[in-house]
Amino acid sequence: MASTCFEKCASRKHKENDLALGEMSCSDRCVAKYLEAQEKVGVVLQKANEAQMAQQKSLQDMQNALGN
Amino acid sequence: SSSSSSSSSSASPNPSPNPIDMSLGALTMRSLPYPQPWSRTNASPSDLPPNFAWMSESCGSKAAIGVFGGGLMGLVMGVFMGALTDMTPPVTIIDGREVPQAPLKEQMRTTMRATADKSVYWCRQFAFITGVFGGSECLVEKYRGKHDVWNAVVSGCVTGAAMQAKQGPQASAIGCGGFAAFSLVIDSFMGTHS
Repeated sequence: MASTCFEKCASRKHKENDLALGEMSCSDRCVAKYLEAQEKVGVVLQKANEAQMAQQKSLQDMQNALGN
Repeated sequence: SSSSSSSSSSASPNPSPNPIDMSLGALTMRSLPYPQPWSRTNASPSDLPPNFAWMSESCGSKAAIGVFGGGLMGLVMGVFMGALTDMTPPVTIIDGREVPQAPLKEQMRTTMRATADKSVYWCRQFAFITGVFGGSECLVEKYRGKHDVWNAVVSGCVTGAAMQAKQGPQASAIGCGGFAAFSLVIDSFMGTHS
């Protein structure tokens, strides 16, 4: 996240040691977007993971039923 | 993290949808590999050190600093301009005879009064210009999220238009263009942009 937002927001020619106002607001927005995107992706991945686990469990239940 | 917690959750047939906590502290706790020291959500204002970022980062403070600094500079400029231009009286010789001048004390008093008036005039002008320029540049830069010369150009246009606002829209347009060009030239040489 730090490297992504630095690439997007900070300029390469360092004439001042502090972040300029524009760079500050850009990095605020970048971090907020990154975290929100990561959260959304996490939710989708969790649902997909749960669906896959449920499918595996039902498959295993079927195999156990067939075996017994 | 969310991917590791799914292995521990039981696959219930009807999982109830929990409301997702989207506060920044909760987001960081979920999304980053370990808790960051700056993402405290339980810190009361008395635990954290006093935050003076608003003094240097807010647009209102930039405008206020511009007003005060510009006013000070205007006072100095007005003293210089008034002292330099109001020295000589307009008419000294009519028809070959010297016009009698007022005594020196009166002349000094008039010069001082004129200098003070000019100084107040320049103080007001410079305070207005610097305040409007600083505040608008801060607003434009925060909105755009970039640090380059075009912020100064846009705020130069705003300042020029605001200076000529009382003389109608055409004067405002001309002031906008003139001040934007002036600001572009000055900031190209003296700005801190890339």
